Amino acid sequence: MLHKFISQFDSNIETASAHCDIPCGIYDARTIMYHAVSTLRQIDILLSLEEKGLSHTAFAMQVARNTAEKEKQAELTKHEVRIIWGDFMKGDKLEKHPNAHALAHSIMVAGSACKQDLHREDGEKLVALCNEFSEMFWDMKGIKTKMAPCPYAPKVDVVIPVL
Amino acid sequence: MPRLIKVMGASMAPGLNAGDYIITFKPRHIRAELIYVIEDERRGPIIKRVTQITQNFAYYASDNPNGICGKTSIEKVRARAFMAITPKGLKRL
Repeated sequence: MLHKFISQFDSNIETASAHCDIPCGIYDARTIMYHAVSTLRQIDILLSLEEKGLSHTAFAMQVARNTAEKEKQAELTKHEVRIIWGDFMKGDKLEKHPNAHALAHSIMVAGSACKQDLHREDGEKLVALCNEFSEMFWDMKGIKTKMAPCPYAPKVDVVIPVL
Repeated sequence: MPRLIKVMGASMAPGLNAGDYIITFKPRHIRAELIYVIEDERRGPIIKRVTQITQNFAYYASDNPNGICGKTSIEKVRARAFMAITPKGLKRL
């Protein structure tokens, strides 16, 4: 009850962050793959909705929910790539992988395409580029990778570290 | 003078969750294992648990294992959190 009361005055209350985006050396490209594959999955779900024979209302609700999730996952993919690209990929690491900047930019473009439209090939391209980015990231950390199908729909191949 | 601060983010979960409020005061001494508000140059105020103190630095960590850890100069440790106001009620920290 006290919490609810105080929350009415939120705009006047100072905030302090318990976020994790502070240089700490903890970077992991698996989060990128998670969001990229989720984006492709949302595209697949949206493309299959018409076959389900839903009522107009149910169809509209489903489209709204999955579209929102598709855009959220695409944005999260871009966000995770930006963090690793901006905070981790620098200095000596770029000498071996000079295409890091171009690749990161391509992912930004592919992520935006997934947000703007509904083409499976956009989602596939996002996953493929993120696989490339992920492989490069693990190589910078000196960790080998392998390709394996994710054990859930859309069952696409993803780069995973061999730890 | 106690101050009320709202928690943003999940790095101090499960003890402190996003949306909880903490009551803080300016500490006379900084002690390990207690939760403090730290002034971070990049992010502004952050909430962390101080784990170790040396002459000039305080080392801090997140309660959430996925969270961050780091160190800061002692003068950046601004306030101690001693009470949380959560949707479930009051909790001493």
